[in-house]
Amino acid sequence: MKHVWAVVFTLISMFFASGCRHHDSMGAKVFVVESVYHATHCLSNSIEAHALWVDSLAELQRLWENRYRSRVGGSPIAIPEVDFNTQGLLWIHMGQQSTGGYALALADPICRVKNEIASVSVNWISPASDAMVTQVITSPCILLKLPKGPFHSIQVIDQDGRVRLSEKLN
Amino acid sequence: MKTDVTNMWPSVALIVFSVMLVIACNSGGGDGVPANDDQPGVEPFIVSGTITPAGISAVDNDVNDPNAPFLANDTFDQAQQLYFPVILAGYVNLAGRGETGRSFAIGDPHDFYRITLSAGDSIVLYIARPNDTDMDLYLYRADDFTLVDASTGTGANVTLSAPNDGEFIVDVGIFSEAPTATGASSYNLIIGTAADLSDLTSYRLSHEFIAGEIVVRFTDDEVISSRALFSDDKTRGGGMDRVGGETSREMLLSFGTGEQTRSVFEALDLKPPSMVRALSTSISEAIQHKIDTLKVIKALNRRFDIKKAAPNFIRQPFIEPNDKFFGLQWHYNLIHLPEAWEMITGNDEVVVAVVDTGVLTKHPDLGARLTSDGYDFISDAGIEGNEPQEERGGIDPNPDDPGDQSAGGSSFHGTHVAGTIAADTDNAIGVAGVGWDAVRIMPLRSLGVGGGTSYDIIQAVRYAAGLPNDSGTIPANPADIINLSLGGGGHSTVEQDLYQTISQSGVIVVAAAGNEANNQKSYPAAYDGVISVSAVDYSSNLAYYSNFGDTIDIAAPGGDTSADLNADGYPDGVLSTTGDDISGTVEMGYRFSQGTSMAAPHVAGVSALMKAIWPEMAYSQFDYLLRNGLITKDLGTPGKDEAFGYGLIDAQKAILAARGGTIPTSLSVSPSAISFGTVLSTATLRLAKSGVVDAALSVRSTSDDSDWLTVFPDRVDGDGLGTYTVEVDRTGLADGIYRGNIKFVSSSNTVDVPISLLVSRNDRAGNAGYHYVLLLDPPTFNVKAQVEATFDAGVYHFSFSDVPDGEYLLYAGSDLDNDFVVGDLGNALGAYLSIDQPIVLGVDQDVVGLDFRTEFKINLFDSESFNHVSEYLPIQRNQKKRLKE
Repeated sequence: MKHVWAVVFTLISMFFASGCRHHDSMGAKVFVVESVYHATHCLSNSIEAHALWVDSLAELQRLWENRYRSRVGGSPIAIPEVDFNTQGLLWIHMGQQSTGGYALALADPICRVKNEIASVSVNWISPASDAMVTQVITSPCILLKLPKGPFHSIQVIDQDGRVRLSEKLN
Repeated sequence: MKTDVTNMWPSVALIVFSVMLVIACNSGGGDGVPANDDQPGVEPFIVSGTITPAGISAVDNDVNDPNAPFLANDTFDQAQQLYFPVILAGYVNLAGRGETGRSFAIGDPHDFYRITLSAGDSIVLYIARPNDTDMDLYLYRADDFTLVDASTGTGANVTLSAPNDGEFIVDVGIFSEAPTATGASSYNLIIGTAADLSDLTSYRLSHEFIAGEIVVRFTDDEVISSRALFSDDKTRGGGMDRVGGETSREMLLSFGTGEQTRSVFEALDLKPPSMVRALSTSISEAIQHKIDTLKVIKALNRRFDIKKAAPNFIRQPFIEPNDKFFGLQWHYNLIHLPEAWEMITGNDEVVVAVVDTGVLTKHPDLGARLTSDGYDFISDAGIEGNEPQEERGGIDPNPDDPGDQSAGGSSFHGTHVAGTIAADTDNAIGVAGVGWDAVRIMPLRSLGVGGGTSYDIIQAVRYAAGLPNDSGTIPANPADIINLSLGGGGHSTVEQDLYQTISQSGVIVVAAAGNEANNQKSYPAAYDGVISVSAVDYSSNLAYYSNFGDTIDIAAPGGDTSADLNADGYPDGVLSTTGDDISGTVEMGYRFSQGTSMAAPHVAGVSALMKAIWPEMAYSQFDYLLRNGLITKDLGTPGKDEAFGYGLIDAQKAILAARGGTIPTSLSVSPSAISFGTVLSTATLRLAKSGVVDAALSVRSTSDDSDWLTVFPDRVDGDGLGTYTVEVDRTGLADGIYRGNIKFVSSSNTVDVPISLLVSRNDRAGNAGYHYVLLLDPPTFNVKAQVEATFDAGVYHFSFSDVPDGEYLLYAGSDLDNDFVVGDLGNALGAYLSIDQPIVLGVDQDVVGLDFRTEFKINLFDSESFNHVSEYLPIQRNQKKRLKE
């Protein structure tokens, strides 16, 4: 599965060439967005779903440290590489869930910008209603990297076209 | 204090008028005796009688009421003699605080009492006005005034217990170092007859904690926290050093003795720390430092910017494995696991099946603990996750967890569960498992991406239990215990039948109750034959997410990762083994998680330890022990309740119960001990056969070891089981404490029943304080007449001589605090016929010989607002002088 995504990403990257900013057939500006991290147990100060725009290394380091506060032992997980001069990170938290079986995944590597609002598409995954699931509290999250662009807010849209979250940028 | 009376009038009126006609027609009613039947209708009339306090009641000798008898009890030498057991009412105040009265000007901050106690006797202080008066208890030896214990708190009650037999001085005092709003309150002191009310708001000198160290949690309000006196920059300025933590979570503060203590007291507006040392003749600097620490904690707990301050307790593990992160596994101390490890650490013979996401078989803290016959029962290729290509498309004998996320970020849930049950223990790395070396894990994989199906779980459960299944094989050594940290879907009769079959075969099945914080049944936990486990947090409270309801059997630590109450710098989740596959390869490690998933394996692990020490233990025996409270610490409502079932799993109790191994045929005696105190002379013991096997058992002999003690059968069957009467005879015994023993020898075991007896030549006559007697107008409760009772030989006498023809309510009570009100908390109150049933007296002739009881109104509910209007009565000022100092 990872190989498939790698091929897709490579093709898209080639298509959009450098800068990754183009227009689609509807006239919207488009960017390439990349998933750099995701997990099912992400500590957060909020138990509600939320998104957070991260535009500095210091902020990323603070969040990363908090993310791994529940982990001891093992090798440290490398912090994602980001050029904060040209890129930022969108940290999407699904919010606290009562069981396993929940997850977030990038649905479309293309981010569209219209009326200064960027839209990223994710799969907002819940377990089937009749599934047997683990009885652990989970807090799925995903970290998306995208170029800084001409947008003042970002929408998170799920697989059904529903706007799940909206994050205003400073 | 004043209550809204408008809503009470209908009920009061109903009670009053429902009995009014009867009483009026009976000319006095109840025990009243018409004295001049031949002259009805002649005014004025006499209303007289007596009031009786409880025999064990006593009153402080120096209350604020200037009409009450006075004898100072302000020092050790002046200590007022009390006799066990006792319920006492008293009053303390700081100078210039409280109501005007006898002690207003000079103050009466301490009352000293002398009493003989037995080890374990409880001393409970109930404060009438806890919201604005902070009081503490101190306990000294009576011979040399050595301080033996102290209890501080900020709630409505404070508790101590006698550490040994002997004579003690009890000091009831206002926390006078702090500027309190009122600094005066009535109180009740109950010695010997109340349960130990130890709670989280009360700390004792006898607790083991580090003097000068305080764990503080600031309020969550960041704005307030930023202004806190003890925020980062100001901590040192306030006299305390910050040892660890930060304002956003728990912080460890410390202060030394001498000048630094004085600096801290000054910063908290406390008076210099000298009172206790001045009182006690032999108090060390170390003890003084501990007392000062408790006072600082109390002062901090009264600050607006402090959410909680507590001592830095010293926890002493009985046996401590050398696993690197064992110190972070708080959840094991919570269930007394180290104490259990003192008795059993295992021998590899018990098998616990973990039906889950599989287990990371190469985890360095788990690999050696796994059986070789695990299996992967995931039959749906769509949820197999990152399974190797050659194993895809169906079940296979590889239970390794390949991850349940297609691109990393997997949960490795089964690894976490397995680690709690049986992580390699005392191997110098990682974490400890509940089972130490007693347990091996049979890893079974039924959950993949997004969960799994009940069919695959059924196959795994059948395999674990040694029943035919889709693998076509059964393990050579089926599991003794099956852990199911999973749930979902609805009820299935197929599954119910399976779990009943398995439990009847002896296998113990443990399951997580679910995390929806509701009482909906979650399966498989709610099936008959399955042990359903709810979750508690670090404070043994039901975890905020845990399900509850009538199917909950037992509780265990599930954690709360939003808190760090133990201030170890990590979330208060359950720490166990896990992995992280975000990088593309699996990094083995450890993680704090929360959920009933984490609670269930604690129970599975403890039951495995029990099985190791009692191999024959089957589900039915485990269930018997559970239902009889032999493996749990009861929490919540006594007995079984919807939050905790039969209580929090207690590994020490469980191992002790299992070590007996004789449950089917043992003799049990209830109660297990008898304390006769100073009054009782007979009691009943009930002998019964305990166990689930109907084996023969008979009582072979009964004996006692003291001349003053006798035991004889009352109603017993042919085996000697039934009730026995125990009698004590105080004739010829000198004052003192006596201890004896009754021994029952049965064909199975011997049971000793300790007996204690107190002898006191003091003829107890209760005293509930100076009493005011009131005749009230029934509809309005207005006082129509008032007299003051005379007290003689434990009885109050009263007589109204000029009572007009009419209807009256009759009340009486004390006014220790001199607030011109009887019936408020801490004071005594009585009514004719009784407080619960006040009745209207129809007076059209003399009514004499009335008798009713008076008793203290104790603040049992930590509230000052439950007074009923009819129990809160003003005293007429023209009949009682308020002293102006």
